[in-house]
Amino acid sequence: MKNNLSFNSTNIRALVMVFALLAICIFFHIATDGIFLSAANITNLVRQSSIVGILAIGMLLVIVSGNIDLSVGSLVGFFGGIASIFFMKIGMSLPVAISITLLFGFVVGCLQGALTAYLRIPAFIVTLGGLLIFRGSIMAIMQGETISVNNEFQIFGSGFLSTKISISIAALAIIFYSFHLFYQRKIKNKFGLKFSAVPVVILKIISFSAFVCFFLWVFTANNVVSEIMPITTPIRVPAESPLAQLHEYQNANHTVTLSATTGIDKAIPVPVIVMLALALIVGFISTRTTFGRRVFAIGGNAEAAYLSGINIKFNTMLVFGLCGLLSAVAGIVYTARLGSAAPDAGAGYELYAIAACVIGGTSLMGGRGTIFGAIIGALIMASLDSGMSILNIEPFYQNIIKGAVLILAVYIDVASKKKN
Amino acid sequence: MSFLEIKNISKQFGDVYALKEISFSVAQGEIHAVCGENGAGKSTLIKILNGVYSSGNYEGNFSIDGNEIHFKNIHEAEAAGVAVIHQELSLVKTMSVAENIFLGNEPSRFGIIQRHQIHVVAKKLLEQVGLTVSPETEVSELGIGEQQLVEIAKALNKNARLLILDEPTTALTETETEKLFDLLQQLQTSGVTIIYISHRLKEIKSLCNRVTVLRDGKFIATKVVVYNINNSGTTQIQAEPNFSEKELIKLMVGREITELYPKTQTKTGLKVLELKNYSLFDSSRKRKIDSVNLEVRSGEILGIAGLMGSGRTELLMGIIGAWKGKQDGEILFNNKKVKFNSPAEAIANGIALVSEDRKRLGLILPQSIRFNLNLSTMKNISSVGILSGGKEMKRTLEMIQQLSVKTNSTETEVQQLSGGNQQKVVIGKCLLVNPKLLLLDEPTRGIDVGARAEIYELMNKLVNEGMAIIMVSSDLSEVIGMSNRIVVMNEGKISGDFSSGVTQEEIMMAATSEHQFEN
Repeated sequence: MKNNLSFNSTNIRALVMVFALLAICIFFHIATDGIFLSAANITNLVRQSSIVGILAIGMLLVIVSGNIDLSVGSLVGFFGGIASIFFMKIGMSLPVAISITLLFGFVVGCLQGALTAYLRIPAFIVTLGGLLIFRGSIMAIMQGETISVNNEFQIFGSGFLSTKISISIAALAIIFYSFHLFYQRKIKNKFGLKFSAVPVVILKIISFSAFVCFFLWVFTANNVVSEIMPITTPIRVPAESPLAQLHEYQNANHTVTLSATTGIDKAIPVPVIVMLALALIVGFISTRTTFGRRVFAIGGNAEAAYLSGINIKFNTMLVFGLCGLLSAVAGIVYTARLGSAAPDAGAGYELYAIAACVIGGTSLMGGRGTIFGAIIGALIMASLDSGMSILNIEPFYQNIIKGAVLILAVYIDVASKKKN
Repeated sequence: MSFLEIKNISKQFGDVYALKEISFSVAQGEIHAVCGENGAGKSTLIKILNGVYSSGNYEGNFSIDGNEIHFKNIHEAEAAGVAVIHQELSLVKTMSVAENIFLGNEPSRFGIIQRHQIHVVAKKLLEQVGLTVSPETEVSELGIGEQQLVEIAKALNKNARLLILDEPTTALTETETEKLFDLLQQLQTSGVTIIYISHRLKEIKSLCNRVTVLRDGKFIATKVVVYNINNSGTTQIQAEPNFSEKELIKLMVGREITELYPKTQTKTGLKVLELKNYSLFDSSRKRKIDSVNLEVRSGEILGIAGLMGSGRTELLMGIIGAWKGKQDGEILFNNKKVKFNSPAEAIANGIALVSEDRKRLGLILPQSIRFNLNLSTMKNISSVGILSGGKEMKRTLEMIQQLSVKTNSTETEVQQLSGGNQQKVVIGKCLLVNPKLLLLDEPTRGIDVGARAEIYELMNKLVNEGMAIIMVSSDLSEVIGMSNRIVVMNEGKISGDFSSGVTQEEIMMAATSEHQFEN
């Protein structure tokens, strides 16, 4: 028996997605005369994508299990509001407010999951109901007001890790990755499987390190004012785009807020590290735990999974629970990012999360998808948003283009599967 | 001259011939039975006659009324007057009887359906088939027998000249069957030619003029059943006075048990499973399994034979805890009374099932061999829910080697494997459970001879190690060759219990007739 590292279809799909993202970046970089890939814009872009990214992580498992969750956008608004009420109005300490909000998110998710799994109401309907119910609830609770949150809370959205901590994290990531590669190699060797040669492993470590260092440089380069290129034309964003409600884009001039925070020691944005951590954890859950396996089995073939001894109902409920939990995280980050909780926060985000998953190669039929793909999908969406906004493309054209990209991405996926 | 003349038709799937050089003819106005074991090629033949397999996708040809036919699709076949009544009825249950009769064929003016006309014609057709319901009744409100009559009315509306019925009485009651036979004979008198596909010898005897036997995709014989045919056709058929059910069965099963089955003598041990008065009911409270009593001992292969729909699969689903409806009676496992609410519980107790349809019920197709093999036993290779890559890889590689699954990687998606290797993965998944009782439902269906022999060898090895196996199979030579004991199921009941030295004819007799057989 030979091999394990040959390019299987999943690897190829991942590569295609990465190249698509790169192509989009290069195109915009040229089209925007070098603004797009400036340190400031890259930082901004990954910050933008973090909220949709977090939602996409939860959505991915739901879709893989063969379901859909349309309520996550409303849950962002709902839990953003709930967390700010707990913290600002009731006066809980921040850890308590956040813990309770997250638990609440899990429970609400499980509830929707239970309706789907145990009462057999289609997930589409349950979560469509949820979409209306949670939006209505938070509007009723907040009485249409917005609640401002203080600096302590805002860290989750607008905060940055210091350079020292950022460098430590980057170093740890590289060490961990190297260890992981060598461990894999050892295991494969032990079972007589074909393993990569040392130079290949080293090459992988070097490219990973280069990748990490590049982003570290991008994030720290933000400190230097001269790196930022001024944008003088007004930026237009579609009203329902995730960008529209974030304050950078509420200013006509792109540079205002970006340069305003310079001078402080800041590197990795907190929402980005939150998203990466969640991606790692849920990625691990999806591939290395019994729960993750079961979710893929249920989505791949529910009947076969049942006959193999898998409890379909319970696991389906948990998947929704996890999605609810991640929606609560996204709600907190979103509120922190805006500096206040608004009852209409996160409207339409469910569609962005679904689009991110689908662009990332997730099959809506269930059983297929990767966290990596979903994150890339979120980055592609954010890149299109950011690039077209810098190019000052009219909002309605932006929507048309994003819609077309979504359809094109799925077509490429379908067409490539047919060939196999 | 014959109405339908089939000349040298062959149909290949990959390397396997589903039909090989079939030739026979059907006279105008004849009711002609086609029979054979499961997998003899009957369904394939139907699909060629009604255009599902379009001209060019098979070799040979056939002619209707002397004209050579090349159907491109089902619509052309329908236009030429060929209609098939399938085992699973193809009515739209949420539409009315009249709408179904005219489905795809609605009389319309400028795209607007002529409702009045539909009802008038539908009413006439319903009278013709002897169904006394309003054309406006929704199909879902009708019983299976009535739905079948609606199907026939639909065929008549399309001026069917050749009516093909595929096992039409499987779901019918006695009275419904009689009613159907009356109608078929009436249609015969009016000049419709009928091909009647059935296993049931009694029906063939009381309804059909001639019978053609297929076996393993080959034409075996055409026999005359009755003396005269009362039709307007011109063909005269000579009588065959010594037609017998026995002879027909012999023609159907034919082949001798080959060296394929390396039967070994094993020591049977303690009782592993016992069913007492075990019954299963479907959602409409119909008995699918009727007071079954059976037992299996360790070191023993119990074969379950029977026709499709006789309740064999349902019985296995009941044992494994996957039956959704009501159950009755007792299951004793290792002499303890048990009731499994899910396959998970059965698996935890040491019962594993290799289901009959590996693609639909056995495998997660887009996932790897490793993923599938370990699906039922994840708790053995994990702690606190986290899988151990090392343990998993070890078990995967051992199982791949033990079953000699042909693959170059543990990460190959199972959908890329051949049927035989897919089946090995399903069996491997079950063996990892370390079962005391292994249920095999059609374990060698659609598998090449090489993989078959390997699976038989494995079964013998497992019972030698003390496992108990229940094997459901439609392949009679396999059942006889592999089993220590054989029970035959017939309409949810056990109609035969044989220890050894039983012939295929005896099994077939028990599977098709109403008497009890034992030796």
